[in-house]
Amino acid sequence: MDSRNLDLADEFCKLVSKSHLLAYLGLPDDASPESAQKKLKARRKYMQGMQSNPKYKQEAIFLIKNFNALSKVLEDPIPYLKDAKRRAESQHLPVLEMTIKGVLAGGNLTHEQEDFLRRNAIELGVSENTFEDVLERLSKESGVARASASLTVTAEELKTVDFYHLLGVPRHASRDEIYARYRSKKEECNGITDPAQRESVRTKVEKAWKVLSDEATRQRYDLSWTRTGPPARNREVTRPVQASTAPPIQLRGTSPDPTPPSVPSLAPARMEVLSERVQKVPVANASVTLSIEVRNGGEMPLRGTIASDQAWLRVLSPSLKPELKQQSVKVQIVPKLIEARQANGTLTLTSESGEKVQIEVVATRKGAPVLLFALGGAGLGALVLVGVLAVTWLGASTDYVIDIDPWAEEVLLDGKSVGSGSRVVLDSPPQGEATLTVRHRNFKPWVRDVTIEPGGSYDVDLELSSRMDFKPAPSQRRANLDQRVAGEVMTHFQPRLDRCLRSGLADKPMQGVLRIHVGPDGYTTGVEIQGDGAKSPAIVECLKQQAAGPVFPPLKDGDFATVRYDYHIKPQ
Amino acid sequence: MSEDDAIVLGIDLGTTFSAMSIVNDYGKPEIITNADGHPTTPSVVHFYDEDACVVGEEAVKMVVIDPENVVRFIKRHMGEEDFSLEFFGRAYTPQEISALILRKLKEDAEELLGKEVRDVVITVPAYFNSAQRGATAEAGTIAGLNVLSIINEPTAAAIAYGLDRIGGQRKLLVLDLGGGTFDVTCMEISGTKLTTLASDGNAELGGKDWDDRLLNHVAEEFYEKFQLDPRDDAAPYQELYERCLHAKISLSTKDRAMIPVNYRGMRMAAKISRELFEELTADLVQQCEDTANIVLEKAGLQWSELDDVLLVGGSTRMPMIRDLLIKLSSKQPAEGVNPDECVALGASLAGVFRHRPNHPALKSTREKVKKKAKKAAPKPAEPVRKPTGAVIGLASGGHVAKKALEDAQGAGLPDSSDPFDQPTTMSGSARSMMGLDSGSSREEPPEDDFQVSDDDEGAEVDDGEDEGFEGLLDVQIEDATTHPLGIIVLDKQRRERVVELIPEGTKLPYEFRGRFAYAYENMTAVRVEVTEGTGEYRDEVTVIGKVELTGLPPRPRGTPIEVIYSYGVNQILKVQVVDVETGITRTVDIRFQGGLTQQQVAEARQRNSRMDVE
Repeated sequence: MDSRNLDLADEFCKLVSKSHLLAYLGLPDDASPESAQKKLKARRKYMQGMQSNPKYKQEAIFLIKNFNALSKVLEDPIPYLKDAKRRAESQHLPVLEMTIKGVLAGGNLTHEQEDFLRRNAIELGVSENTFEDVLERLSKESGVARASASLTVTAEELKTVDFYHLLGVPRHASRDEIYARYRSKKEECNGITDPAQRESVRTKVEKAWKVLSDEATRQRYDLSWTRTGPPARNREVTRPVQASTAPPIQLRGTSPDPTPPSVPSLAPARMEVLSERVQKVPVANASVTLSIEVRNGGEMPLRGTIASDQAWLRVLSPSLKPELKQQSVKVQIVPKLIEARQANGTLTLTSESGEKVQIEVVATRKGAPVLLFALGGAGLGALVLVGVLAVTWLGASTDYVIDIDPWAEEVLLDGKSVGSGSRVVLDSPPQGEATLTVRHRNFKPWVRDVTIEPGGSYDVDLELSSRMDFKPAPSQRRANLDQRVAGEVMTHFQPRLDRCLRSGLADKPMQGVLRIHVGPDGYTTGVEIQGDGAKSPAIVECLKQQAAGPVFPPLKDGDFATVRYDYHIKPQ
Repeated sequence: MSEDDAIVLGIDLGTTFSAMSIVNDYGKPEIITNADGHPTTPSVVHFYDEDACVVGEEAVKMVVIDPENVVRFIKRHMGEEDFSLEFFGRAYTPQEISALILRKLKEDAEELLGKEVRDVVITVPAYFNSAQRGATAEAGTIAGLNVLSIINEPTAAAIAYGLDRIGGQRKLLVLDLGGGTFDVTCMEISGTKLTTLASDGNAELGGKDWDDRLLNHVAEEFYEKFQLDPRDDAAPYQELYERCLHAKISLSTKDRAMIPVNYRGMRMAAKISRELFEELTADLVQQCEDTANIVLEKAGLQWSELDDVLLVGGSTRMPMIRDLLIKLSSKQPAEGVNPDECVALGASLAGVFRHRPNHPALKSTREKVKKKAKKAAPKPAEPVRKPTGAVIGLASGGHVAKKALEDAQGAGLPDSSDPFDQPTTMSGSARSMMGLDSGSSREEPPEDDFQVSDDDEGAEVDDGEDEGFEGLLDVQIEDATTHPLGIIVLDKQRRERVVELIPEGTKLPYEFRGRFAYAYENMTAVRVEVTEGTGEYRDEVTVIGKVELTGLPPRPRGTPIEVIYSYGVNQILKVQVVDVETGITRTVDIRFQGGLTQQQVAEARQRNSRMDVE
């Protein structure tokens, strides 16, 4: 197959943000070449009418100019698809590897972290198999054991445990719905005070996710249930018969559906809200539509109303549709009406019979670190990923922890590299005296003799060696910095930057812009602070110190790049 | 009757609109209206059958119901080799589509004038490169026209404007913002000479971009409200585009405009104030400002040194562009210029100046000048450095040398194939009428149906009418190159390098002579590759032509080869390669190519002639 044509196909798919041409045409992977080519031709014809349309111009002109090459590629879809998948993976693997390494540097790998990584990988277009391989390899290299390795679901469990019930999701739930439930269940686990019980519940939730997250396993599981009695997920059934066989789980907060089985006589309507009671929604400038799943637990028609107490939270359908067994109540979040960085609103669902459910909606403006002039495609998956890690990044008590303020490029113990980052955890540290060396390009070298004992910790405060006063000259070229990578790095640093800002915070909110200039080798070369943060020398020093820490990938095509952070700090 | 007297139609082939004009017998340029009686014709083609299309307003109407078969903005794709559109199973290149527009213009003109039109001058943005110019010329050929010249739009506008202001010395800035292209040119009118001082522009910036900003804004507002984007469907998009276009036009005179949107049963009216519109397009205006400043810098002028600023192109009707120019120059833009028409008017004038030395209006003026000249003794002619043949023009009020008159009468033109070998010996103000394209040296059969009687008493008529100028004065047009021209050579390490021979902004005509040497021992052939564009390496420039010199005796490395680039005013670059020792010479005219071979052009012309154009 002509590699030039494959290149063009790849370029085109990137342009239209599709994984491959068949997906672009809305065809299954096994579509026949003839049907694919025919559809491409029809699309080209249609696009002739769109070539002056600003939204589709690029797509139209690319398609018109390279139609023959793209059509040629579709002549033989199998090698093409193989090539497209390989390209997608190789493009995103470095980012994925970097992210995984970052997580592994924390010293352990929880289920949650692993799932985040997996979802991230899938979003990037990396297949799960490849992801597993990479994770396996990297975790071996770093000597970090995967929590999921110990998790096995026995055949007995597959037969007896209703995982749908356990998670509280309907059998026809999509993977995303299951995932959402799984996450909230795990959060609920944290509220269980007894450690043994907490661990047991957590394991069950993990097992449920393990079974239901994989399409193949889920199918097998569904089949085994079909044979033993309970219906398959494709049928609209809300309650498994064997619910009683599920282990009793005592969770704080909502209980997983204690309703009795339906009876032949018409049961009175009952409003059951399936969605989370607290909805956290990241928003940018465009409106976001939120769906609240409401189910009628009875058999009589369910009538009710939905009300919002905030202008930015618009209820698109103010009353429930009585005839539906289950429905989605659509609510729109209008970011333009949100003034602060974060806003809380309450939706009140009231049924005719007086049932009342309140759902709290927390809208948070996302995209705090914004790259100037970067290529499109915000890496939101990655942002969330690192954000969560920052919370769960805690060493075990037997470890030796070295905390570095703000960030070390390399940490050496007796001349041996033991890690990098802002926290290095040694799980089997050498006992006794050792020389600890911490290095980073932007800071003065730090060398001390320390005493190491299990459970101990050492704080390293680095001192800036550069004034961080680089400012781009007009003659210098601005480089494209990968927005995804920059976003990841920045998300990790943002709490630290906020801490600096907060240190000088009186009772007024602070806002302004922080610009971090990155040099060709990826190191910070300059920090510019504007707005309220620039008023206090202490804050400026702190920000410079923190912002000197991040290391970005080397710039390929320019002299500098700028990462912009629009800060807006409110008094707590 | 010689072909020399046939009509020259000046055509402004625009991105959104086209216009045409001729110079009447009294020397006045006139706009030729189309069959609908309008001075401009939308550059839009609707294909409704295998061999039938409609051009103009009718085609615009069809865009909302048959967007796939309507082409607009084809000028933005001129010179793109890989671009073609398909209608009813047949592929059309941008040249062929433009040719259909040209044919419509030609046929409308013929109907109005009652005469056949063959010879045309077509304008292009100054910033068009050779491929785009070539494609424009090819479009003309495909339309069955004889393209005498391709000239720059700002130059044409300046000719039309400058005609009434000949005599003094003025510096002029022409800002041409059309539907799809943007050009800024700084020119000087000195006596009857018009010189391009500097030029720059953006072939990707035009009124369409303003429309798009409006469209995007409205579509996004609609989306916020209904989660539906009217840009997602071809026909609703076109409808919305038309509405935005009209809103843009009304925002030039009104403070606010409403854009109604009706898409998939959802309705909304977007209110657009002029402030909002200006906010949405502030960066586009900034681009215009930057380009204008660059041009002045290139010309070495300050804003205060300009005498006139001239606004050309429909988009300059937007107050924000006028305001920008007033802010920059502290001057009101020149009055009395119709931004939609002056390019076409200038094109027909340029056609007469360059290609119709015997135009009755020119003759009558000459007669008058001759009468005056009889009283005063003619000044001795000064020798002029080669090549001057490409500078065309005859100044009035000066002294007309006898030879010029003889030449101008057109009867006894020397049979010369190379005008550069015919240096004229006229003084600077009265040069030969004989240009590179001198009528009688062409091979086309003469046209008989355009009668200009030799005893036409044009001068008397002019005297009586007094139209602000006496008859038609010859204007000399001194154009400049807008892209550097170079050659590919091998350096000492025998790596390919591009050497610039004619820099950007060089006044035409221009001749470069340079010596190059054999790169290897015992070479028997040399190849000269002519490049266009800025850059040091082959990849960064475009090769626009090749000259090969073969059959040379084998000689050592370092054997000299002379290369001569002669660039005439009518966009012909003549490349001459001379083997200094043997005197073997090869000369090639590089008429800028638009990407089609002669065969392809001939075939397209055949197909085009069978096409039914309404």
